[in-house]
Amino acid sequence: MAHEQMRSELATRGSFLSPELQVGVERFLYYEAYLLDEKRLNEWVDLFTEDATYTISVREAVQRREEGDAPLGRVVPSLVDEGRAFLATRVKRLETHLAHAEQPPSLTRHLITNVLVRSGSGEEVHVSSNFQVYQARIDVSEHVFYGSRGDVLHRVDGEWRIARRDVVLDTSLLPRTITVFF
Amino acid sequence: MSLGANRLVEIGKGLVSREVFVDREVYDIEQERVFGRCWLYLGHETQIPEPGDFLTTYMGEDPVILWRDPNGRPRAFLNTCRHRGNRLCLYERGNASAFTCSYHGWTYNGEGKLTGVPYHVEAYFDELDRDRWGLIQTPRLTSYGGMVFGSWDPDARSLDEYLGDVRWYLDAVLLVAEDLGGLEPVTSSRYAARGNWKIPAENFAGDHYHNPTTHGSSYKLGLRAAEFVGPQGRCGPFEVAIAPGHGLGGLTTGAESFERDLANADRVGPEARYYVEARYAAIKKRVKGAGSVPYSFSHANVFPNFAIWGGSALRGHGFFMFHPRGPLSTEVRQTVLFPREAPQVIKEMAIADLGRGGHFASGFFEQDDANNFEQVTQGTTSYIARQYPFYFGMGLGHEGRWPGQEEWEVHDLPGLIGPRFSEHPQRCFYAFWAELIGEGE
Repeated sequence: MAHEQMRSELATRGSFLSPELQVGVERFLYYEAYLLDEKRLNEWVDLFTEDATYTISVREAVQRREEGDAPLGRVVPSLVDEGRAFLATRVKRLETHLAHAEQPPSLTRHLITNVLVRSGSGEEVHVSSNFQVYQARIDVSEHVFYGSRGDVLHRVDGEWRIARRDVVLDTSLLPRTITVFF
Repeated sequence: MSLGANRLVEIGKGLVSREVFVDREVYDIEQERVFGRCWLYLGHETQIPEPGDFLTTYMGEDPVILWRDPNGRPRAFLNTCRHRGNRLCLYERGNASAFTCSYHGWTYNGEGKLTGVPYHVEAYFDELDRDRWGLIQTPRLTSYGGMVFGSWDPDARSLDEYLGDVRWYLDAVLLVAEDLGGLEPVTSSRYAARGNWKIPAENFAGDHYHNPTTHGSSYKLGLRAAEFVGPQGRCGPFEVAIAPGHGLGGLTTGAESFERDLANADRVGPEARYYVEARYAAIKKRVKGAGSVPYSFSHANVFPNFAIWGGSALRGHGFFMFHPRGPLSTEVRQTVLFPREAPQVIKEMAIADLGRGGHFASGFFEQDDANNFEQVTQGTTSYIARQYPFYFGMGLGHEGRWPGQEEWEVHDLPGLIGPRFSEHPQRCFYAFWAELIGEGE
């Protein structure tokens, strides 16, 4: 994102960003990560609003003479562009016990950092965060995914819910297929 | 181990040594005799539409730049500076009129000529023979239906001859796109897989047999129609072995799968129905004279490592490359192409399905396939395990005499056509592989 835009967001956020809001958002994201790592996946899906959207993108290094290089490469929004139903289907698939890529289930550890509440109000916030997701598959395969999440959280009945999540993985060559959640 | 000490491939017995998938010496010979000699798919012309457009890829392990020159002609160059070997282009794609090496600044133009040498008077006394130090270009490059193939073998037979009868199927089923505005790339993806490149390549050549088990979760959830629940159909799916080493499968013929696509298209809307009808009409026109009409194929492998995925008018086609990255690693690159005139709604559905249930790195099919590649490798590399060959004997001795084949709707179709569960395409793949590396029967 453009630095100017980020600066202006940070300059104006003081009016709404209380320490309580920051802590509340962080607590929510940590709880979410806890559910993922504990494989309480149906509870995890319930953290999304009914009309939530969920995307996963990667970056691609493209050279353009006329425009110069984008500093982080072009974001390719090609992998996943879905809604809550997709997440629920992925969980259902795991429950068939025929999802061989996750039999036995991978062990994961989601480390969520750099939680930056960028704009919003007490009812809706735009949050960016970084993640490191460690995945151990049986005893022979270990991988780490790095990336960012851009989330839109809504307060529903007093609780935060994810209305939108845009995951960008910091790679163009994925280290393996994606069998876990971000 | 040394070549010749043990037979690596015994097709007559359906045996392929596990060394073929793990041994470093076999791998190095394969780089020379398979990837150094065969025609290799490099990319689609529509990925580099304008002069100066390029993409970077591999031929075997060799990094190459596929680059459209100022006159509009695609060329393929080794992605390396002639001076000290520095990789020239670090981008995945883009547009450039020249590449300048970041080490000492040697510069090459779109025809591969060395056009710039810093301090050439002071450093080389103006004596450097620039014509001698241009980029290394593939001696052979041919475009077929927009697909660009290159070969390092100056004496290679023509691409036409190399593709053989696989062209007949691609002309009819894939290149029907030429009557529908031409193929265009809509999205792409790539990931690293553990396992030898031949494991996915032979899978795409002819392995229908893995579907019920490997992809069981997709069938159980009703995400895919299970075409193997009933008996072998008279309109497919069939598996086809095509000389010299190609395979194509999930082939369906006649009106049955057309009707199935139509029913699915009707759920999308009239533009989808119109498109499915237009495509089928164009296929029939393209194969007029043939007894049976090929409608779709779900998987194919053009030897050695160019796989084509499809299966329905509603899916488009995936061009998958399995680039060897050492004996036990493969880089999987996937580009999805559609006929330009396909309705946007179909393209979007197909892309979503690839990431959801299909063959992109996040899709269910790909997850479970890649898991097999990894676990096959895990179960194959060790000392005792390597001494026991893989078995490719399914259907051995029944070729051309399969039960019920007189009922099949495959009149005048080329290649050795067999039922959905048979390993004759894999035997074709490994027989040619063995012939190339100088092994086998």
